[in-house]
Amino acid sequence: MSKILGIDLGTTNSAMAVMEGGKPKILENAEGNRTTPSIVAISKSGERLIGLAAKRQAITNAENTVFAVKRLIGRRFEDEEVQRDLKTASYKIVKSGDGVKIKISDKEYTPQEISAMILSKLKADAEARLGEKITDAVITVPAYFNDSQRQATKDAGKIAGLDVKRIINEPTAAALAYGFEKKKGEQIAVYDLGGGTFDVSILDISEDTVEVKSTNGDTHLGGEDFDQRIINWIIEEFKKDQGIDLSNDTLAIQRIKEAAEKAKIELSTTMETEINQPFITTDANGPKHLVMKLTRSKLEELVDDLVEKTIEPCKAALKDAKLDVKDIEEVIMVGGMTRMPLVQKKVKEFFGKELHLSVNPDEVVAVGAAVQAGILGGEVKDVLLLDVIPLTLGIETLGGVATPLIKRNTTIPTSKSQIFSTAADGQTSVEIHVIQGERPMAADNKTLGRFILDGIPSAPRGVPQIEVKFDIDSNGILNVSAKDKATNKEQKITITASSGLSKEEIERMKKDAELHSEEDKKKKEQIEIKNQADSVVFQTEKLLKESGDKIKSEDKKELEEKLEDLKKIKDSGQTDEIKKKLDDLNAVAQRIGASMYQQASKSNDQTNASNGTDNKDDKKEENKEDKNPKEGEFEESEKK
Amino acid sequence: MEDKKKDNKKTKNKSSKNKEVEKLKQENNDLENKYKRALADYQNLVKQTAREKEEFIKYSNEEVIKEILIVYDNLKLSLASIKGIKLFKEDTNKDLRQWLDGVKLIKRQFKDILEKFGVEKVETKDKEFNPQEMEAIKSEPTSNAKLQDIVALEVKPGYKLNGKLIIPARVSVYKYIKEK
Repeated sequence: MSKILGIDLGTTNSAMAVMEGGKPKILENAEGNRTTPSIVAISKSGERLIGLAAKRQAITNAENTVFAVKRLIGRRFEDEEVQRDLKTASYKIVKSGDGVKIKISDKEYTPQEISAMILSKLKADAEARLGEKITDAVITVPAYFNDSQRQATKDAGKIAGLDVKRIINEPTAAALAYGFEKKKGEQIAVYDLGGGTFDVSILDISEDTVEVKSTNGDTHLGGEDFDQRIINWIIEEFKKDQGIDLSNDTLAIQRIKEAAEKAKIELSTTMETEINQPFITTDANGPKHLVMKLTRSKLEELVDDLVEKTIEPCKAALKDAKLDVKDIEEVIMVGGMTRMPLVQKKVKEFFGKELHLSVNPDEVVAVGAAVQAGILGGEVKDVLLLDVIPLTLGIETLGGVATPLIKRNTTIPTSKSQIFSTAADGQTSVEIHVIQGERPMAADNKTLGRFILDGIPSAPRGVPQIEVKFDIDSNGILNVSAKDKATNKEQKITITASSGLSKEEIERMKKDAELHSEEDKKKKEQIEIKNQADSVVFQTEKLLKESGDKIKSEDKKELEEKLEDLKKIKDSGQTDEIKKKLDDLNAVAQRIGASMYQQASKSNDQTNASNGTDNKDDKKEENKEDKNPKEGEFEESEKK
Repeated sequence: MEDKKKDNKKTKNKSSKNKEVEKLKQENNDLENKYKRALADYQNLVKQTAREKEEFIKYSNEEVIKEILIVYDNLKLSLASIKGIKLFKEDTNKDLRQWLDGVKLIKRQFKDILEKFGVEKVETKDKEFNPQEMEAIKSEPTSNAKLQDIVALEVKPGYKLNGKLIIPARVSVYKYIKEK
C-alpha cells in the first residue's frame, strides 16, 4: 500500500511528512529544504514557479505572484478578509459568482487551483524522495476554517491528484504530534506564532475525539514583524552614529535584512550578538562600517509589545471555551517564532505551565498530519513492531563498576558477548552480577540476577578468558551466560521481562542518572585509580620478587618505601593523593627499569644468587590476596 | 462396526491433523512474511544510510562554506570600495599600491581554494533573470524593451556548491516601462 502524505498547507510556508517505520518523518523538497514557501507565480513566459523560486522573483513580477492564497480559499468576495486583501495584495483579485478568482495575465484561477499548484509540487517532491507514487493525503487547516473553506482545500487536493483522506485542524495535528490524543479528559492550549499569522486554540481531548473548543488570533502578526523592528533599529542606530540614512540603499538594506534575521535567531540561544557588516556604504570621507552589538534584552525591548499582543487572544480563547487558565493541562508551542525566549517566557507566565517545545515548531503540524495519515493507513499495524530496551543492561566488574553490555534504546531481539577475565591470581570462580540502569556504579543500579561460574583452572590474573553473553529475545526475556573458554564450562540465568521495571521506575532511574552524573563520575574515577594502584602494586611486587639483586639496594629501598606509601593510601578513596603516590612510584620504577637495562650486561651472573629472602616476603603478600578471590569482580581483558 | 468406528476416528484424526497442518502452514507463511519484511526494512535502511552518508559528505562543508563566503564577499567589497578612496586614486604612493597588490593576491588565493571545494559563483552579468539561481530585490525601470528581465545589477553575489545553489545571487532586474 502506498504511503499517505501528511501536509501542513500553511499561509506562508508548507511542510510535509510521512510515516516511516512507524515514526513520522519530514520530507525535504527538491531544493533540499524542509519547508516550502506557499507562493505561486506564473512567469512572463508562462512557466509555473512554486516555492522558493516564486519567492525570489516576486519583486520583478509582483502582479503575477500569489502570496498567502490561504487567506482567500473558500471565501466569498464580500468577506472582510477578502476586502482587506483586495487593498494590499500585489496580484489582482476578481469577483466570480459569490467567490473570488485570481487574475494572472489574461487567465483567471480559483484559489483552489493556486493551492493545488503548491500541493502538486509537494506531491512531486515527495514522490522523488520516496521513490514511489503518492495518491493519498491528509491536509491540515486552521481550526477556524468553515465548511466551505475545508471543502475548497479538499478540492485543491483533488485538482493536484490527491485523494484527501481527511482534513484535520492544525492545533489537533500539533496535539497528535505529541501523542496527546491519549490524554483523555485533558484541556490543551496550542499557541501558534508563525511567519505571518498568530493562532491560539483550546482543545478538549475526549474518549474518541479531539474537539476544538475555541480559537482566536491575529491574521497579520508574525515573525516578519519582529524582523522589521530589528531592521528599523539598526537603520536608526546607524543614522545616529554616522549621520547616514541607509534606508534607500538597496545593497545596504539587503545586508541589514539578512543580518537582522541572523541576529534574531542567534539571540534565542545567546545573550548578545554582534552585527558586523563592513563596508556597508561609502561617503565623501571614505568607507563606513556597520558594527553594533545587540543584546537579548534590547531585542526584547524592541518587540515586547508584539509579544504582548498575543496574550489578549489567549484570554479571549479561554473565555470562549468557558475555561480558566488553571483548567489547561498542556501548552503546545507551534511556529518558528516560539523559539524566542521572550515568547516562551510570556506564554509560560500566562498559562503557569511548562511548555511543550520538543517537536520542531516549524514542522510539528506536518508531523501531526503524518501521524493521522499513519492511523488511517494502518501503518502502525502494518509494520513489525519491535521494542527497544529502556535501560542499559550490564554486569558488575572490578571495583563495583557497572560495565554495559547492551546500551539502552537498542532494538530487540539482540545479543552481545564480551570476553572478561579474573582479577586475582589463582581465582577459580567468578560471580556474574547482572544489572540494569544508567549509573556507572553497579550498586546504584538495579540487580536483575546473579550466578557463579566456578571450576575455572587456577591461573594468573587476566589469563582466563570468560565469555559473557547477553541475549534478549523479542519478548524481552534476557538470557545471560558465562563460559570459560578453556574448559567450556558454562553457567546461565534467564531473566523474564516481568522482573523489569515499571514506566515510573524507568523514568526515575533515568532522572537519577542525570542528577548524579557528577558524583558518579568522581566515584568511578576513584575506583579506577584504585584499580590502577592495585595493578601497579602487583607489578612492583612482582618486579621486586623477580629482579632479585639486579636492583641496587638503595633503589630497592626507595622502591619499597614508595610501594608502602601507595599501599597505605590506596584504599583511602583520596583520588588526588593516590594519584600522587602512584606517580611517585611509577617514576622510581621507571628510573630503576632504565638502570637495570644498563646493568643487565654487567651483572648477569650475579642475578640468581640472593633471590631467596626477598621472594619469601613477597609470596606472603600475594597469598594474602589469594585467600579472598574477588568473586564477580573481574577485569575486562581488553583493558590489559 | 469396530473397524468403521476406527476408520471414523482415523479420518477425524486425519482431518484435525490436516487442520493443524493448515494452521501451522498459515503461521509459517505469516512468519516468513514478517521475517522478509523485517529483512527488507533492514536492507532498505542500509541503502538509505549509505545514500544519506554520500549526500552528507558531499554537502557537509555547506554550512562552513556559507559562513566563509560572507567573509570572502566582504573582502571583495573592501577591494571594490577603494575606487572611492582618495588616497588610492592619487596614483602616487608606491608602497600603498604594492600592499594593495598583495591583498588582491590573497583574494585570488581565497577564490582558488573555494573553487577547489566545488564552489562556483552564479553568473549574472547581462544574463536573463533566473529565479532558480537569483533573487530579485529591486526592479530597475528602463525604456529599452530589449532589456526587460535582464539583470541590471548584481547587489550581492550568489554561489553554488557542487552544482547545488547555496546562496542565490541578489540582483536588480530591468523592467520595461513605455516612455510617454
